[in-house]
Amino acid sequence: MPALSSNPTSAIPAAESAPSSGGDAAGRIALLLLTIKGLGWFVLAGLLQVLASVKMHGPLFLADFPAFSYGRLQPAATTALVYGFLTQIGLAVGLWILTRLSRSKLALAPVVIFATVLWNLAVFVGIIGILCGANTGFPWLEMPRQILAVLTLLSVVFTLSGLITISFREERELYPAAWFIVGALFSLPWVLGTATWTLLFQTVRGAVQLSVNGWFIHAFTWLWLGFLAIGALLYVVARVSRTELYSRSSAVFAFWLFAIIAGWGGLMASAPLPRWIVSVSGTANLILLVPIALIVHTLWKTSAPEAADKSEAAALRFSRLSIQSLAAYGLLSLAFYAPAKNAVLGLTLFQPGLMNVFFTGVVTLALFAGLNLMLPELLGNKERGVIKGSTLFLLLLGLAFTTLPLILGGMKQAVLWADLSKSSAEVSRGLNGFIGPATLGYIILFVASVLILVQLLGSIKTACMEFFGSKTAPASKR
Amino acid sequence: MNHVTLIFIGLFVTFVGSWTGMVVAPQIQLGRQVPTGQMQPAERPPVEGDPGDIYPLARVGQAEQGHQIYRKEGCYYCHSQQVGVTQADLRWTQDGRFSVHRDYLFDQPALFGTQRLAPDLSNVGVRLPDAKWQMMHLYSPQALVEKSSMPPYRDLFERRKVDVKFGPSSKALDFSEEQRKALRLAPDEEVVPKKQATELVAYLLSLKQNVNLFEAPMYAPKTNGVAGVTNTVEAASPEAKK
Repeated sequence: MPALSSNPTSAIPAAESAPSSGGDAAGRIALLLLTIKGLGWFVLAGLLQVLASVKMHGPLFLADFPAFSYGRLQPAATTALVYGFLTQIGLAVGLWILTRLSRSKLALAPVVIFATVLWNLAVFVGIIGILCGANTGFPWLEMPRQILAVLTLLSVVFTLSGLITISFREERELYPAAWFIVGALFSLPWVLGTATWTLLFQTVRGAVQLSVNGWFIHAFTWLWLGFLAIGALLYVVARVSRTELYSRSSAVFAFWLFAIIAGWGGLMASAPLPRWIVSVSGTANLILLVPIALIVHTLWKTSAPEAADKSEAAALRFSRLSIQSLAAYGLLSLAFYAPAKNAVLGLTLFQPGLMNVFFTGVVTLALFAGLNLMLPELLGNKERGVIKGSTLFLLLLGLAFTTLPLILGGMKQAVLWADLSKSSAEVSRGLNGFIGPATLGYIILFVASVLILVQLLGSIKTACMEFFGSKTAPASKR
Repeated sequence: MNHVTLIFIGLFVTFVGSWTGMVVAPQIQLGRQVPTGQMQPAERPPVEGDPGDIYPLARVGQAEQGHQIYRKEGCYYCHSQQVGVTQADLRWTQDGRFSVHRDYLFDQPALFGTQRLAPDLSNVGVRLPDAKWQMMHLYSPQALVEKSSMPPYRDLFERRKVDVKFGPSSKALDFSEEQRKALRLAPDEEVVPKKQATELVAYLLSLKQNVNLFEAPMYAPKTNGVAGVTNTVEAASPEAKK
C-alpha cells in the first residue's frame, strides 16, 4: 500500500497537526451532546423495537393499552432509530470529521447546541404523537407534519454549521470523506423538506403518494444515512491505516453515481404505479450495486490488517465489519428488488431484515467506528470512550439474530403466500419460528445499546472529574 | 475549483432530476385523474352515452372516519392494500384484478401498507362483507381465528353490564357461548361497539377493488374460488379453526 503522501486530496491531513476539539469547549459540548442524546435514543428505539417484536408473536401482550399496539410501536421505534439515534450520531461524527479535515473549530457551535436540544424535543413530541395515534400514515414520515417542518428547519442549522466549518479549510480540494459528508448535509434538509411539503402540506393524490414516499425513503437512506456512513468509513479507514485511499477516483465516481441514482430507486416491482416508473426504479436499484461495489472495493483495499493503538484498533474492527455489511446489503438488495413472477420478497419479513443489515450493520457500525476515534479525542484520553470488544460482540450477535431469521422468514413467507392452498392464518403461524429469534436479537441489541450509553456516561464522568480536579489542584496549592 | 460549490450544484441537479422523475412526472401523468365510468361487463354491452357506475367515489361519513382510525391504529403496518400482478397476489382478489392508481384517488393518506404480515385488505369488503363478523374480529381476533396474530382492539368497544330495564343493546356483539366463556364474559355482560369501531368496520367494508377498469380489467371469473377463499373459509367455518 502506498504510504501517506503529501497529496492532500487522497490522504487524510495529518491528525497531529490539527487542533484538538478540546480546545473549543462549545464545539466539544455540541458534539458530546449529539452523541449522548443519540445513544439515549438508541436505547429507547431498542426498547420500543423489543416491545413491537414481542407484539408480533404475542398479540395479547399489553393488549389493553392502545399506545402499545404493534401499529404504533413499530413506527415509533423506526422514528426513534432514524431521527433520534442514527441522525444525531451521524451529525456528531460527520461534523467532527469536517472539523478534522478542515483543521478548524466547529462553526456555530452554540447554535448547534441549541438546535440539538430543540431537535430532541421535537423528536420526543413526535414519538409521543405517534404513540397517541397522531401518525401521518407515511412510513418514515410518521411524526405530525408540524414536527417534520421543525426538523427540516433545524437540519438547515446543522448543514450551515458543517459548511461554514469546511469553508475554513486550508486546502481547497476536498478529501473524498468530506464529499460524502457535505453531500449528506446538503441532502438532509432537501429530502426531508421536499417530502414533507409534497406529502403533508401539498398533499399529492392517489398512488403518487407511494411514489413520493418511496423516493423519500430511498433518498433519505442513501443520500443522508448512506453518505454519512460512507464518509465516516472513508475517513476512519484511511486515517487508521495511515495510508492514502486505494482509489480516490473510484470514491468520487461512486459519490456521483449514488447522487444520480439513489433518488430513483426503492419502489417494489409490484407497486400499483405505471410500469415505466417501476421499471426505472428497478433499473436504478440494480445500478446502485455499482457504487456499492466500488466503495466496498476501495475501502477494503485501503484498510490495514491492524492498527496502532486501542482506539484505532476498535475503529478498524468496526469499519471492516461495516464494509462487509455493505457488501452483504448489496447482494441481499439484489434479491429483494429482483422482479419475480411468483414468490416475491416485497412486503415480507425480508424487508425489515434487509433494513437491519443497513441500519445496524452498515450505518451503526460505521458511525461507531467514527465514535471510537472521536470520543477519546473529545474526552482527552486515548482509551476513553472506546466501545469495548464485548459490546461489539453483542452488537454482532444482535445483528445476526435479527437479520438471519427475518431474511429466512421473509423467503418462507413469500413461498407460503404464493401457495394458494395455504390460508393466511397458516402463513402467519408459519412465521412464528422466525419472529421469536428476531425478538431475542432485538433484546441483545437493546442490552448492547444500554452498555454503550452507560460506558459513555462513565467516561464523561471520569473526564469531568479529572478536568475539575486539575482545575482545583493548583488553587489548593496556592 | 471550489468543490463545495461543485457538490452543491451537482447534488442539486441530481436531486431535482430524481424529484422530477419520481414525483413531478407521476403527478403529471396520474395527478389529474378523475373518476370514470367503469367498463361494462361482457354480458352487459356498453350503451352509448351511459357512463356506467362512476368509480371511485369519494369515501364519506363513517367510512372516511374509519379510514382515519385505520391510519391512527397503524393497521397498515401489517395489512397491505395493493394487489400486484404476481401469482401470490391472486389470493387477494375475488374474481378481481390488480390494483391501479385510480383505486386510491380519494385516499388521503393512501395506506398501501409496509408489510403483509396479515391478509391484504384491498378487497376485504368483497371477501368478508359481514359487518358483525368484522366487529367480533376486531374485539377478539383469537375468538374467530385460532392463534391469530392480530391484536384485539378492545378500546374500540365498551364492555358493560346489560341494562336491567331495557335489556341487551341491539348493537351488542353476538358471541357464542363458547366464545363468551373464552372471553370471560359474564351472562349479564355485553360488548357494544363504540363509534370508532362502527366507523372502522364501515371503512373495511368500503374496501372494494372489484370494478372493471380499462387499465385493469377484471380477471375471468373463477369457479374454484382460489382467490380470496382462504380467508373467507377460515373466518366463516368452524372446521377451518382446527
